[in-house]
Amino acid sequence: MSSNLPVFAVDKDKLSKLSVNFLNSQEGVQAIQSGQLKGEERLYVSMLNTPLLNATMFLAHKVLIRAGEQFEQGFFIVNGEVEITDQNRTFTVGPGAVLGLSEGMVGLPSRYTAVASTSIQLKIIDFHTVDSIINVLPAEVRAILATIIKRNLTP
Amino acid sequence: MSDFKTETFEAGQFICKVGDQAKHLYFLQQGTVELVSASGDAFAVIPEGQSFGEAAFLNGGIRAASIRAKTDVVCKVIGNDQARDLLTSYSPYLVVIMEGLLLQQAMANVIKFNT
Repeated sequence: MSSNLPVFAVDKDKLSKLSVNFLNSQEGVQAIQSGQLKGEERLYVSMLNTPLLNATMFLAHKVLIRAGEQFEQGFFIVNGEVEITDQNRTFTVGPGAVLGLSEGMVGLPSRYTAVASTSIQLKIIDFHTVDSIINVLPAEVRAILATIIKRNLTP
Repeated sequence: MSDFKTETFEAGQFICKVGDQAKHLYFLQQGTVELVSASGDAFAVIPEGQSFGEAAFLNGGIRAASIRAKTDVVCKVIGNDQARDLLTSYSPYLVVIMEGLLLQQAMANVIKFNT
């Protein structure tokens, strides 16, 4: 397994020092208003606290997805690290990483293999929950979603 | 029915500036806009049919770049609170999906420039 530092991970120590457990807490509001939280940190805290995602845990060496497989669900990494290997490179991501959401929403297979480098805590994003809703959303909302997905899938 | 409003900007006009509070999301209906760094350099172009300013969805985010109309443009615009309310009215899960996509986008941007 890779021992490299994660290429992408939110700074959980920073969030802890700021006592930002909830965005709508006094500490959370202060941190946002003072510009102390990056976008990914706000998103991490928000997704961490949603009751809509089921949490689970995998041990190290668990294969989350193999290159070429279809994502049946997305993964939001809460704790721990995941090693990503695609055709050209291997790198590690940590807390805050989201895997498979864009791919799954448009039915594209994974371009990489993802393996837990450590024990990981994660939340499962069941994108099929919104399958029936997407087509009735206003065109502008669908376009915004499509733009973000396209950007995410552009190497 | 949606809460989007139509706004127009002339070529060269700034739609928002770096450091501004991000309060609106935009869908570019006609024309082209460019992202401009704090030093004034244009570094990316957003074509017609795409969105920009999604940071507004991040509970009061700060604009990381200025956005300038490269041509005359027509945008559909929605406030961040209205956007959340709109998604929630269809399904609260859509808010989670949007946050997840934006987090995946943040990750993808970092990976592109660091691997």
